[in-house]
Amino acid sequence: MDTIGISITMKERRRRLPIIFAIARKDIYEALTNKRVLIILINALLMAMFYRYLPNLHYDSSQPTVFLYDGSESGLDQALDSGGQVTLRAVPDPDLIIPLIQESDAPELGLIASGDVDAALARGDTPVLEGYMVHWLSQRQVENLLAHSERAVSQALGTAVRIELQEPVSLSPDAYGLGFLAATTFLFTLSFCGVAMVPNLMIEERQRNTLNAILVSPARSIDVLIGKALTGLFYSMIFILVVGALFSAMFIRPLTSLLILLSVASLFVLIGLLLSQIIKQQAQLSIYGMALFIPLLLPPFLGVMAELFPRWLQTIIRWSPGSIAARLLMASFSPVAIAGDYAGEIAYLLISITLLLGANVILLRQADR
Amino acid sequence: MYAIETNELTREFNGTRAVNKLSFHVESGEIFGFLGPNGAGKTTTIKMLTGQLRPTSGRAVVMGCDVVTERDALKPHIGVVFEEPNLYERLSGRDNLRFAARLYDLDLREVEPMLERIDLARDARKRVKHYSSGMKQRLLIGRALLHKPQVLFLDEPTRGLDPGVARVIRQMIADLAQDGVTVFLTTHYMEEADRLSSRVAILDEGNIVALGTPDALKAARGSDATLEDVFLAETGHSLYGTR
Repeated sequence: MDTIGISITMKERRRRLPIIFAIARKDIYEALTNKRVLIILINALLMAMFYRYLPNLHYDSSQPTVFLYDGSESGLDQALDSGGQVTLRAVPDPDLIIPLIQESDAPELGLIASGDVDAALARGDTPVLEGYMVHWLSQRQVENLLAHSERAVSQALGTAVRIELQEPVSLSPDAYGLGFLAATTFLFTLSFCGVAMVPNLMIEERQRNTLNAILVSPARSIDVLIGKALTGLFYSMIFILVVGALFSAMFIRPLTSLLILLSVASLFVLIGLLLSQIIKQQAQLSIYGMALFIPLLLPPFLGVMAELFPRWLQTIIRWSPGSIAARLLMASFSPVAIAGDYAGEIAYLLISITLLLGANVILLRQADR
Repeated sequence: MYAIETNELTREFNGTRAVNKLSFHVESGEIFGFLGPNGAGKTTTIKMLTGQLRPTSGRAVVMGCDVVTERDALKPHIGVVFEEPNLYERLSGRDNLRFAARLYDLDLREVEPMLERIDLARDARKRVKHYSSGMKQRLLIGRALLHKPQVLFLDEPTRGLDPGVARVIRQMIADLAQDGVTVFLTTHYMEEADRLSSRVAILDEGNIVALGTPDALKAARGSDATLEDVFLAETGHSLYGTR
């Protein structure tokens, strides 16, 4: 009997799939003709482009930033500073070079001039400096920055120098550089898809009474909900691909990043579905949406200046869904062991998804009664 | 088996009884007119019979399916044309029907013959927002009939339509009955109910005040009586609230 029960359930589930896909397919197509939804999607795209190219607005390739630890007695730091070919940031400790490079959102160079420089200069040999660049620079950016910096240092020292590039610097999960920009860009675009677009689809269905037309067909409320969720996930995937292409150099572990992105997308879609079950009017959605966006998306930015806040507020900021999502994404852009070091964050994300799923099902059952 | 059978069907909203202990039946293949003024409870009754609204008490069975406990089994047997046009205006007429076909797991090849039947084949590619009200109504009827239901619920199908368009819709409804479809028609146009229906129930403030064939109801009031006269006699007020 159990076997028959299971096979009936499987058969029933297979019957429902065409209905769910029909709803999702209709929504995916119709979204492109819906001005409100198009505006949301275009805004998300513009935001992604803005965040990706924001660093370029302040980057001057003719005067790139160089972090220099000068352990020699050659006076390199003063000469470079007055040379005007680079924007020099003198660093008192060589151990600070890599953390500073990890924070960069534009092509920047870390240089260590050790005492060997003095010895080389005394012998008349070519001094060699250690160079550090972040891993996500393109080959062309690396070559240009290296050539420019070698010229500047050579001019400063009055002799040809060689900068020996060390292993590319991986991002740190705590660094607020391009990795942070990438993570927050993903958060913004996925929240637009899940929290803004999905409720719009549902509320419009309800307002123009087409929901009733669907519900007198073999479709059930849960089919409609899943169909809307699939639509949200579809557009989320599109944005994962688009933003992923814009920040492609970030992905050192693409599969891990993708899993985290899909989880974050699911979280936002479930929040959107919950909103769509509570809110009945478009006007209400604007108010609730704004009220939700701020606690979802602001905390990662507040985390940058967390030390300014009292400890209890720091904890709240740190453990808000947006901060968790940003932290996990940034960790996936670095070589750290996510499963081990971020087990708490992963558990938080999965539990949140489960709770939201449960809340959606409960609300749906109450509405069906 | 009756196509539709109700037993003391009741629906309350916040203590107000919108539909009060309705008991009636509809034979298979007949056009049953359910008429009354605005607010009489017609739409509420249709919503209960089509499984959209749960009755507060009482029972209703449509094509042998209880509207509460067998809602899923009921759906393939019924088609519904709602009072307000609820089409996807940004989709074409064809896409609206194709979506409905997918919901009912129908072959998409069923769509073209239906477009021909409702005389929208030429305009099938146009977006519904460019359709006239008559075209929208025909599309709604086509959508409701696509899966060949045994019972069609029509909620005020000619409301707001030009007389000429309304006439076309009425003819479509009459043709349906000839095809063996049971039609449950709500309207506040007494003349429409009189012309189309084989039997009518007159509803006022949630109660059935008269039930029978139009001719029998009118004959009971005199040779020149209309259904509106019947309504006035049974309720003490006209369709528009005057006495």
